[in-house]
Amino acid sequence: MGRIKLIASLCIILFSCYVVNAQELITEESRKAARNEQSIYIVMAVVLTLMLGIFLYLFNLDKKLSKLEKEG
Amino acid sequence: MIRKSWWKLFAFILLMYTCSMGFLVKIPQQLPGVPLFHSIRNVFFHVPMWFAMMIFFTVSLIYAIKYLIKPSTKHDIYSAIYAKTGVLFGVLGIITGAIWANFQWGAYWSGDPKQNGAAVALLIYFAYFILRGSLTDEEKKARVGAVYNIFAFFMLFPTLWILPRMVESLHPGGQGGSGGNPALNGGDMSAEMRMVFWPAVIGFTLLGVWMSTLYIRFQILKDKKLNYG
Repeated sequence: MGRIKLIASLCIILFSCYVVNAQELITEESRKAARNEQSIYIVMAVVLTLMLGIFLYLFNLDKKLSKLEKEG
Repeated sequence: MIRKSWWKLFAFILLMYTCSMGFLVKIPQQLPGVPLFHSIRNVFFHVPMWFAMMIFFTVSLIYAIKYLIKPSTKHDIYSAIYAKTGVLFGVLGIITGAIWANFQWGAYWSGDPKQNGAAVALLIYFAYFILRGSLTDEEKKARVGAVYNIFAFFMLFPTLWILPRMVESLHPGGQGGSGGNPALNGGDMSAEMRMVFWPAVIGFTLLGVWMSTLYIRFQILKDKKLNYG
């Protein structure tokens, strides 16, 4: 039983290597095109992160000022 | 808790929307004039800077007039800080415009009438802060500052709104002297783009208002400490 499982998993690993290779061979050009298309989303993620950071900073500053105003 | 927070959340939502839809929205393939490709997306970030700047300078002007009618430190603080935020947004507008111009027009600065006009308008506002900084008497500083603020605001008319419209400009609408708005034409944007553009204008303006109110509250606290501390 154990031996069959081992062979099966080995086969799967080997087969998956072929799949990966085949994908790379067939779609090298389209992969590049897809990456080119996707690159704008990376910029979007960066800008969204920046905005989030700026707003977190402002929220914190606002809170601190409110606290000071209450004390004074 | 932070003070009166609903519009701050609104600003956050609008800007998150702008910064995601600004990249995702479909742009028209056939734009009139020079092809801009994806750089047209700059319109969601570069143009709102100028809208926000003009709004802040207007608010600054209103408080300057209010000060001259009824002198109070609060009015002076509001006027000075809104002018400061306006200048910040103007400088950001000039820098983002230069980056875009380098890609689109081939140079960071090509002496476009709108570029020159914006630079002159900002220099006039720089002089406002130099003038204020050079006066030590608080009351005189506020009064002279308020008068100069009115002058600086009305210099926006020729530098930003009249002269660039009278000559040819590289900005959209500036070709052939057809008399349009050499910065923004309603017809230049598709309906989808306008759905991102106007939220962007409101979002960036609210962000600036928030920044200004924080600065104003800090200034008021500082003044209080100086007077009673």
